[in-house]
Amino acid sequence: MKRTSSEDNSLSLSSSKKQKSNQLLEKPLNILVCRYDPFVLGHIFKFCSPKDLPSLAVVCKDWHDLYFSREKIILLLKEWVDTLWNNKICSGKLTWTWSVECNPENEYHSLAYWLRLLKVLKMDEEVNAMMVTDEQGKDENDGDDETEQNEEEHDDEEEEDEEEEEDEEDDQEDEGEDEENDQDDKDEQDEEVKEIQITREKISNCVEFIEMDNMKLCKITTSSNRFLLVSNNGNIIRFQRKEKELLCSFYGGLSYPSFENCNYRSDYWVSLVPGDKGILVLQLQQMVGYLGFDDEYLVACNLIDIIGLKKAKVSNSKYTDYPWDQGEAEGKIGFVPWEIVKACTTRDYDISYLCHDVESDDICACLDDRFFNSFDLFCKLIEVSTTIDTEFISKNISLKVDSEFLKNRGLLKYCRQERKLFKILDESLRHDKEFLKEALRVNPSILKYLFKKEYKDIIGIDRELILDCLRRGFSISEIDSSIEIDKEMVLASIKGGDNISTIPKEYIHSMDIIIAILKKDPFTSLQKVSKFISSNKDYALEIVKYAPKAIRWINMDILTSHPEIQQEAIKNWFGACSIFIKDYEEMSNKSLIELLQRPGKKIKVSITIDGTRKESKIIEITEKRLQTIFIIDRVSMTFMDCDYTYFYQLRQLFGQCINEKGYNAKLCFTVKSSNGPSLDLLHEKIIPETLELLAKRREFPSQFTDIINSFLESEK
Amino acid sequence: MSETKQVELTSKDKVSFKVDRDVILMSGLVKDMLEEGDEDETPIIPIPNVDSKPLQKVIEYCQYHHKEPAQEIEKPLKGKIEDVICDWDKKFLEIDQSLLIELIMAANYLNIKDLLDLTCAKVASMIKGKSPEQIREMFGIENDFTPEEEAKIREENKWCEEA
Repeated sequence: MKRTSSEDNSLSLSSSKKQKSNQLLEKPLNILVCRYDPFVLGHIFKFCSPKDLPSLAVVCKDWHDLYFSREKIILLLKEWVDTLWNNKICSGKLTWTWSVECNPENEYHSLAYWLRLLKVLKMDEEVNAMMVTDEQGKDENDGDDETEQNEEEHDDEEEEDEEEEEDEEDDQEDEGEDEENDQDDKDEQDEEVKEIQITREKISNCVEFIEMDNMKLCKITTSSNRFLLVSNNGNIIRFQRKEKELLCSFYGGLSYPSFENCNYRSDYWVSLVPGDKGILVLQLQQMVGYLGFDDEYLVACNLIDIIGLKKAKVSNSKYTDYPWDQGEAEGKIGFVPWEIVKACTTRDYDISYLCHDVESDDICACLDDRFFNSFDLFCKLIEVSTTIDTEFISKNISLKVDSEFLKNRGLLKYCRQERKLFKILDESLRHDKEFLKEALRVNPSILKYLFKKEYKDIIGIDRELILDCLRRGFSISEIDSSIEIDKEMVLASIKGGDNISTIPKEYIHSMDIIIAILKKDPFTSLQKVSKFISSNKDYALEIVKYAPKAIRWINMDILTSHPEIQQEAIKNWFGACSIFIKDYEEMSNKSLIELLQRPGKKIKVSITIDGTRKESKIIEITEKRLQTIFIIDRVSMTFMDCDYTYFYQLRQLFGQCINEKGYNAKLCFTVKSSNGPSLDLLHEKIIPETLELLAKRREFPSQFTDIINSFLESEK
Repeated sequence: MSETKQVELTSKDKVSFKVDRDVILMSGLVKDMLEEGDEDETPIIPIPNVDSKPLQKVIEYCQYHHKEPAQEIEKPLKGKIEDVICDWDKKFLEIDQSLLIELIMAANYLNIKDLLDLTCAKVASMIKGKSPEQIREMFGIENDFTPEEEAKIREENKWCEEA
């Protein structure tokens, strides 16, 4: 023991730097700091838990340099690990020494590993101690645990005779046998309780090495129902039996936090008997890989034996090529939690089916610890979470991750894909006006998640930004109630996609707003504004320009007294003419004759054989600038065993500038025929006869037929 | 029956304590001094760095543990110190902080390992689970790290939480 005199060797803390005040100096422990030697403080720190070292290291610079520099902490912990492992855990059976060749970085790394291994061993010891205490009180659950063990042993004997390929049948038989054994086991329960205590003491911390595939596997049994597997690569898998299940937890390893050799680490316990063989295959493959073995069927079989997964039987063909991703795995991320890490590290891997319908809490519980410590991994999780339920990010992960992550401006780019992410950002970002503006530019929907204070800041500094968000898709229905909505905002939101259902009700009577909505979407539900437009002539006229179908809700008196509304509606929606067909027949004929009789007319005739449309036009005369309306009609005829249906439409003339093409009008014949008559036949038979029929059926202007016929003659 | 040999200890404030020689031999310092002196005399040993109050506690400790050797306290402490020491030690440690510190200094000066372990473990137990700020407050120390330095060291030592 080092001993020094008190005054001369007092800890060299500068009183001006270290002593806050006289009041602090009066503290007894301050006397220890000021008056005594480094040895005593060092001796105190040896009793401190390693968990307290990070706190102690940042108390002051002198303490850090004297006691808690990285090298000193490593020395402290090495001593502690040596003592615990060599003397307490293995009682000298498995002596472990530090490699002299270890470089400081490796040493630091292996220390972290051993601390973790010791931690789990200690934890298991504690659990064991607790269980033994419970058993002394004849706890029923623990009795059941042992019963299960006995059941499984019994099952094992019978299963030896079973055929490997008859897996499903086997399982059913096993279940039946389990039930039969239950009663016998319960009868013997009292005797077993006594035996359990003895057995557990005997096998506590039993260490055995298993040679497998030229690799060593260390199995450390810490209690009758708990054990660890530690492989050459240092990865640890914990196992525990709980009732009928064997649970495992991938507990990290020597390579942690490297993903290359330690691809998963969590305290999450996974059931290895899920009943779905595909999942079990995947679990076995993960375990084999995690322990550093080649992914081979025989290795998996050996592993099944080592861990005592007695009911598990997987054939070679199933192991190598099981379609586990075809439905069976849906929503079972809890059984294969490491797949989340795989998805995050493998870009083309989709785990959405695994996470389907899984509670967000469940996903968080099974995440790898590194998600909460590594910003990069956290970001990757956000990236892949677009394929799964993104809600869990905002709800649960934010509570577990390093709070510094949420202050990182790098998260801005992820706000583009997931607006909810903004909810979990640290206030330092949310209240940063520049960041906020940038975030809103990236994703306007973020506006939904702004608090009153943030709204106030934005509106105060940049109203244009809010309008911009609305224009770019943020729904005004989601805007915070604290903000005063005005007409300009509503118009901006309509531009961004809001409709008559999502804008504030007080604005649906505004003509500007309604017109804006109709311009954006003429097929919007007009019923909501029907009362408003039905009796107002000016509004009706304006609305039918953009939404001619609104004519249905316009009062008939207004329509008859204002033909301009009808014409405006027909102009925009051909179907509107059906409402006024009789009123327009005469006018249509008249305008058609006027067109055809116009001097210097030139008519283009085109014939199209259309075998696809259900209804085909046979006549269309178009002329630029003439607001002529034609009547719709339909005729049918049979020619050469083919049925033809024709109709010509009442429509107002718009369209191409036929004048520019050298024609006054264009006459189109479109004939529907599956057999496709020849052009000669069309000219000679179909068209003339059709025209004749048309003329007969309706009081079609004879001039029209004559003009067409003479035109056709001249063409020949 | 031969009379038990005694030693007279004189504290810093000149208070004398007569104590059995076998008992006080638990102190490495006293043991060394006695080996140098004449065994026939009742030696008077000045303890100039220790006041009478802590010295009395030291003697009390030695008198008990001379017969009942103290059990080694594990480093680091697994839980509270009260969970790993005997009832007598628990009662012995029911003292105020000033006396505890004087005891630590006395145990170190007198080179009594078990007492030093006990008292140091008591202080470690008081540190357990405390934040750096609370530890500074406990020891009356001012933080001379910049926030950046503190954050860097915290990050460096994060792995210790594995323990």
